[in-house]
Amino acid sequence: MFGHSCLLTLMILPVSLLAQVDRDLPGVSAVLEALKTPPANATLLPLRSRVDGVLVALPGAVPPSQRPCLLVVAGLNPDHRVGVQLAARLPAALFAAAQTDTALAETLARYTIEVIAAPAPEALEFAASGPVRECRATPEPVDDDNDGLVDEDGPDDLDGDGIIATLRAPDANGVWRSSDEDARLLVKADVSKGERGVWKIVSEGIDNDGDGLVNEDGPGGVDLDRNFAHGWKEAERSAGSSCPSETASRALLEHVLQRRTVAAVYVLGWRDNIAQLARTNDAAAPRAPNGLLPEDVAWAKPLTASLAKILGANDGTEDSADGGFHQWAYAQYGVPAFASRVVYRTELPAEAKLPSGKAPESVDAKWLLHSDLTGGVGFMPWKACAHPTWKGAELGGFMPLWKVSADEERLAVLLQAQVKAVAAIVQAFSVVRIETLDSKALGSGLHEITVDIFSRGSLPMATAQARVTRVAQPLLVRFACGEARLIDGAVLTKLERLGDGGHERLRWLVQTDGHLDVKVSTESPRSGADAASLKVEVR
Amino acid sequence: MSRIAFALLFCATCTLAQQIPPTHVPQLKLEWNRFYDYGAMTEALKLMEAGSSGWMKLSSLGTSVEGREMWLATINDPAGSAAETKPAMWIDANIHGNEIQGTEACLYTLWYLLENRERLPRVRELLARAAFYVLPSMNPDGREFWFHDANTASSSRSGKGATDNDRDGLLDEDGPDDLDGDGSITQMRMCVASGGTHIIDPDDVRLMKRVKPGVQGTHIMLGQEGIDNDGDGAVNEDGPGGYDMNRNWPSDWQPDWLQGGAGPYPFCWPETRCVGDFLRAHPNIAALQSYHNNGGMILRGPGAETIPEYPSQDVAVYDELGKAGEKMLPHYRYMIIWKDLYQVHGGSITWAFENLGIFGFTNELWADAQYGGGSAGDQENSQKSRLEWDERMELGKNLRPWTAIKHPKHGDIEVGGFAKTSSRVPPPFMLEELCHRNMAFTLYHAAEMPHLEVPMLSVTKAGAGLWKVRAEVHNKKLIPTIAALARKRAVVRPDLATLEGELKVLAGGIISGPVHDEQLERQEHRAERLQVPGGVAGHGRVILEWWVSTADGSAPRGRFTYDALKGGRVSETLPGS
Repeated sequence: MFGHSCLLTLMILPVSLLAQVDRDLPGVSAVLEALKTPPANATLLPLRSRVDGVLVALPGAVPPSQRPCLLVVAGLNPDHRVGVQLAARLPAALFAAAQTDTALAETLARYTIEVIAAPAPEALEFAASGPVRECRATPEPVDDDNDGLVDEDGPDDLDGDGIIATLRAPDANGVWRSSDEDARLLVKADVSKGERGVWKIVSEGIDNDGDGLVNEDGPGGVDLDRNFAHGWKEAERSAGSSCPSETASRALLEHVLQRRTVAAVYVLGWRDNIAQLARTNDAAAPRAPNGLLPEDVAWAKPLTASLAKILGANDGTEDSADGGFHQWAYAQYGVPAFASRVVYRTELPAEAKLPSGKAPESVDAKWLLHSDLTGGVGFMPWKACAHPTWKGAELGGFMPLWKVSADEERLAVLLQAQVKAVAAIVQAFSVVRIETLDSKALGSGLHEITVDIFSRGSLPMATAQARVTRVAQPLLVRFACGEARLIDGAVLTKLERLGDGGHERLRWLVQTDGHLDVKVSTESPRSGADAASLKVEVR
Repeated sequence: MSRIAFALLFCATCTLAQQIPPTHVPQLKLEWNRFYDYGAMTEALKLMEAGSSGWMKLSSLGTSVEGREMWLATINDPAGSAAETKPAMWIDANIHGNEIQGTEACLYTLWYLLENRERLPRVRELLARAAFYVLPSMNPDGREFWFHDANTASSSRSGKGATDNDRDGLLDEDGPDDLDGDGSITQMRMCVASGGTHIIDPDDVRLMKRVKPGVQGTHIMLGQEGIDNDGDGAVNEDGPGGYDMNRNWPSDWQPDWLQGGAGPYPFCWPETRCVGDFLRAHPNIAALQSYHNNGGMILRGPGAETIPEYPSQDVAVYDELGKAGEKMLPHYRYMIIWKDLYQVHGGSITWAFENLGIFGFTNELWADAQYGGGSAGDQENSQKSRLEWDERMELGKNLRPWTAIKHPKHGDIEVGGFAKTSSRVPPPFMLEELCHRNMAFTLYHAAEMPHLEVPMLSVTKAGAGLWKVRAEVHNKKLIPTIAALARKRAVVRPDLATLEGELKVLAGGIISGPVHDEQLERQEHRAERLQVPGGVAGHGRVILEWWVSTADGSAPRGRFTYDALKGGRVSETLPGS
């Protein structure tokens, strides 16, 4: 009886481990199908790939496709499926929230939120196929190890449990040692402190091609979220042969560049610049920046802090330029750009301790304790593994993708947080308006026309980086004075920025003996449009 | 020299002379004293293909922004192995639409190879072991626009994708205008009562001369012919195109504000993308020439100061080729792009070398010195020199006299100056020499692509049932099978040396060190397939050794193969097999 229940337990445990990880291909397929029929109020916008962008907007003065837009993108990391699931549900959730949130409703009447949940559905399917594992690659084969063979040596599920675990093996010249916080964890040995590594680690697998290396050329190829130009690593095959090289990344870029109305970008995936504010640029001009320009820190810092609070973001690390889409969006496209890991570690009780009796300090130790406190589903105990070439090999480590997985109950909570985060970004957009338009008679038919343009909102009309990149159209101020003669001033003024306090005053001098019929308009794809007119009967 | 040897040489020379007599009339009738627009270029290519007996195949790499085919001509012996199995030379031209004469150089090269593939042993030998991929125009839209629309010598550099250069939300809405309808964009001048900055040159009324500060001039110069088409107060600020396809390659690519004309991302235009895709898909390409104009230069990378100089072994190859080019091309100088010209981020030849390991040059065709006077830095004398040349050698063909017109904003003005054919392109009567000399340089470059042979393959008994197999692979030419930079960046697959047959490989590796102190650098795994990451150096050799056993103890029977992506494949049967 006891033996029988033991056996049942052993059978159940692996299943429950898997259930904690969203590897359900049918679930992902359902998401992709659902994207083809967006909520009633949303609009499908064609993207040059198999999945369309969904526009979330309420009726307003300007058609949704012409409004300043927040672009939300998921699925660039195809194994980060919780991001795709949330992105797929986001449009409906936003519409639902707008039913009761007046501020959000007004925002959706003025701006558009475009959601692209999966620019590369084939990558999603590829990552979801086979054993549970981290998989950032597109399916197209790449010769990762430059040996003339392609995808010949990838991970192997040695113990047949449906999971690609971490494989460690004793190695006198190893790089890794057991952590002082908890022996289950591995940390790199610090040789400068006299530490010695005793382990080598790889993902579960064997030397399939007999070249002495393990898993050096697995299936697939390019990491989409390293395939964009800012910080792109030339000659690194996983970053692609160009920036971009992949159909999906090129489609996404073309989509943004053709639309011209994208005013901010928000990416859901492994990368994160919310838990830790992006660094301030210290690259010597005129090179590409390696962080936020100092002037942009002024808006980025409070908004990032706000988002971090909404999302419960923690465990931040530096968001180094590495070909990420959100990094391109700021550094080369010049818009505020955020990235969220979506699933953050739940804060631990203050008194919680590791089995060693120590309070966790490192991020991994905190995750390990979190796993221990929730049934141990996030960490697989090390167990011996029969390996053809490495004696003493063991399998174990963090369950792949566990840290970014969520059950339905948690998904609902995360979704609401993302609704708030998205709303916070859009509600920070600048509103550029003509607030005053005046004329002043100077005598003898001369009139001075004055216009005051203001940008309101916690985000500036244009980031400092946008003024460097000059990708965006500046604010165009057009002046027309009908039959009057323009003496001084331009019919078209281009403003890269507004003056201090987000205010710019422009003046024109016109001459007329008859009517004064002045029209002033402002226009910028990222800030919207406004117009004012003035009629004066001159005697 | 002995009398017999002299006699033999004399006879051989006579024989050759009989093969190409002075009265020889080329079979393929093409002219080399004219330029070819896109239509004429296409006709010439089809004519050559039709008359090539299968030696030339014409295909399209894709279409340009305006839908023109990107014609690629492949030259390969139809009776031999496929082009992809041989070292190949890539030649392209005209990535800048106004830099036209490289197209004629490409056409000439094709024509010359086809005409002489049987007549000249050197051509025959080269075509037996190498293939050519020739793209006469990488920017057919820009080319066609230069030919048939009003331009300067320097305009229509760009492709024809519409861009918003002045960032006013409109695309290509305000370019130059041919106000006098003469087919060129020249200069506008206006006579003024005060505030003049120029006077008519007292030495030559066709020229304008700037006056010194404080001196009253008679005219002001109004810039290039044009009007304010979009009414924004600026003239000619957003003409057709407006980008530079030779800044669009993913090697040290920088965004537009750091490298003007680079476009939003590498390979964003169909023209560059289809060429990039082809080059990547054909790792047998070992040499490259990309023709531009002008200046009389033989350029190599690096393109920017921040890129380290290439490894010395690669520089040595470039130096030998480049300096030979200086001798073959009078007035041309062998130069490093960033150091001797200017910074170029995202250039095509630097991408080809740094990412694909292809030794490539850009020849800037035509040097002003070929006119016989003047220098680029001395604008006044240069203009006078050009005028003199135009008068005496081209009978005034290139200068447009000042002509009065009515300008919508300025009223009475005059337009005039040098036509688009007056500089950067050679006068047609000097075109054939330009084509031939540059072709000769590229054929020399191509002839130095790797040429592998196996002068030694031995099987030696080493013990009971144990044999030593040794193979020596030589590269007879200058260009290595793998550039040192390519090895360092791991962008070219290592050469592969395989041994297969009725044998079991027990150990194998590359022999290194001097003859008297050889070392076997064993490859620990899969020794039957040795990887040679450094390839075979130019004029160098690699020695491979295997220790094998056989089931019955007899001598192994099998085959040795050496496979170099850029050197082709050589294969020999083991002695005794």
